This record gives sequence, structure tokens and C-alpha cells, in this order.
Amino acid sequence: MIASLAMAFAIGIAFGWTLERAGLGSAKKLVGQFYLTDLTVFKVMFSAIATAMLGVFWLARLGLLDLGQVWIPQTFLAPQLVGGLIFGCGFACAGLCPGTSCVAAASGRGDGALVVAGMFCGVLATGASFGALQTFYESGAEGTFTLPELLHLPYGVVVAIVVVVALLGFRLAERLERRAAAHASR
Amino acid sequence: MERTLAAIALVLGGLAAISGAPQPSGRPPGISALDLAAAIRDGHGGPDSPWVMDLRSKNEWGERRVPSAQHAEGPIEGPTDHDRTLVLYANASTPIEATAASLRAAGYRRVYVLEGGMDAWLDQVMHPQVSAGDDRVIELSRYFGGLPRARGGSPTAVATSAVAPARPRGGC
Repeated sequence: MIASLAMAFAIGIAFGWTLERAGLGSAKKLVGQFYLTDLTVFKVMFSAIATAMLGVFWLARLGLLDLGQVWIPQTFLAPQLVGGLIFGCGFACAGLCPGTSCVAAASGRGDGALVVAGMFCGVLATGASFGALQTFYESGAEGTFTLPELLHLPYGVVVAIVVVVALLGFRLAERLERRAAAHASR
Repeated sequence: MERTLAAIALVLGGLAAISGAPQPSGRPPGISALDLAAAIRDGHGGPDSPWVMDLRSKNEWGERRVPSAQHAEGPIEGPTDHDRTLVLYANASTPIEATAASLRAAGYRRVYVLEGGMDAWLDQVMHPQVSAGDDRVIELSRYFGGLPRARGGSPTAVATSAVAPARPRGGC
């Protein structure tokens, strides 16, 4: 238990350090995502997804990771749609998401500290009213989904497709950023 | 630097496409087609019969399936009784381990994978090749409306075997 907590702490520190180094502790940078002027969030997150996906695939392929032990979250359609909307509104208004707000707060930004405080207020309010929310919270269970199951394609082929989509996405993001920079300099 | 990383990702992704699916060591235990057939027959559709889940496409499920198998392509709804035996089968390309892991995580303790999938069901139960003394196989095959064949012979070669008379099809 202590080892798991220590590992989670170390991973959390590494995650926060990476976000900070990528510049994602700045609300200004994050908001650029919504205006298509700065797609750092997209590039960082998709890089992380592609890296983790390749790591999981090859570790499992080499027998170093047991995929049977990897937890796949279930889909609860309506509750997750509502949760996503609330999250999106909060992200757009504050310019920070939960991880980046912690990074901003840790690096001394006041807006980050306020978002963290708001986040904890939200957690507290949800916990206090959970009895009334529980039926909705547990509604619409759809089971688990994975891309190979949905697309009826072998796991490795899906991995290759996601890598290609990521690289094309990075190229498009760079183009959009250059166009936005040229437009701003006019 | 960016080009190098992109090239590494492309190489690893390309190799993934041709390297085959990972084989997790924690693969759920298997159940043979004959054992599954016996369990379905002996359970008579009651709470002791296995809960069979077909993870293939709806079309494949519609064409042919293990009797009593429910289609579970997307949403996975297991039985309310978490002690009930669950048996999954899918195509070779479907990562059945993910579904099995989710079901185990949801509290189902007896999750099995049909060894050989639908092909094994067809080969071992519906069209088995039998020898003298394979009465259990012949009986199970006939119970599900199968056609046992003598090894290297025709279906009629086992028609005189001293087994129980054929029973109605089980809905395969």
C-alpha cells in the first residue's frame, strides 16, 4: 500500500513537472487551444497518448505487462456527457483543467490556486449531494469499449493507425499555429 | 529531434501492425467446446447453466452461435449472480482479455474463454470426428443437432453407435 502511494506520488510529481515544462501551467497558453492559436495542449496530450499506447502494446507484446490486469473504465453515457460538459465549461472559463491548475498553483499563480479551491468545493458539493445524484450517476451503463473491438481490427493495426493519425494531427496543428501567428503579425 | 521521435513512433507503430496481438499472461482460463456443451446441456437454461457471451459482430452472431449465447459487442451486461460461470468467445482479432478483465473487475469470479472460439464449437460439437467409444461426444453433438462423423468416414458410420437417441436441437 505504501509502495503504491509512493509510486503514485512519484508519477504525480513527474506528470506535474512535464506539464510545467510544456508550459501548461499558464492559462493563456491553454486558452490558445480554444482559439486554434496555440495547440500545445493537443500536441502534449496526443504525444502522451501515443507514447503510452506504444509502451503498453510493446511491453505486453514482450511479455512484460499483463493486459489482463489493465483496468478499462466503463462507459456511463449520460452521466459522462453531463460531467464532460461541466468539465468543459470549467476548463473554458478558468483556462485550466485539474492537472494544470495544480501545476499553476504550485508555481505560484493565483488563478491556479483559485481553480484548485473551486475544484475542491465542487468535489465537496458532489459528495454532500451524492445521495440525490446516485441514481443518475449509475445510470446508462454501456460496458467497456476498446478501439479494436469497435473497429473490428487487430490491436496492432489500431496502434499503427493511431500513430499515423497523431503524426498527421501534429503536422496540421503546426500549420494552424503558423497561420495564426502570420495572421497576428499582420 | 522531432523528426527522429516521429520516425521512431512510425517504426514502432508499423511493427505493431504486423507483430500480432500481445499474449497476456493473465489470460482468463479456457473451457473446451465439449465441456461448454455439457455445461449448457446439464444447466437446462437455469441458474447453473453458463452465461455465454458472443463478442463477435452482430452479423456473425446472427449467422451461427453457441446455443444460448448473447450478443455482447458493445454494452456488456452480465448476470446479476456474480458467482455464475461466464464464457466468452470472439474472433482472433478481438482482444477478449480486455472484456474478461472488465468482467472480473466488475466482480465476476468465474470468467472463461471458449478455447478455439466458434470454430472449435463447430469442429468439436457440431461436426466432430469420432471413433468407437466416443459416446459422450456423439451424445453431446446430437443433443445440439450436430452430425458426428466417423474418423475418415461418413456421418452414417456412427449412426449405429450405442448412444442415447438424438434429442431436439438446442437452438444452434
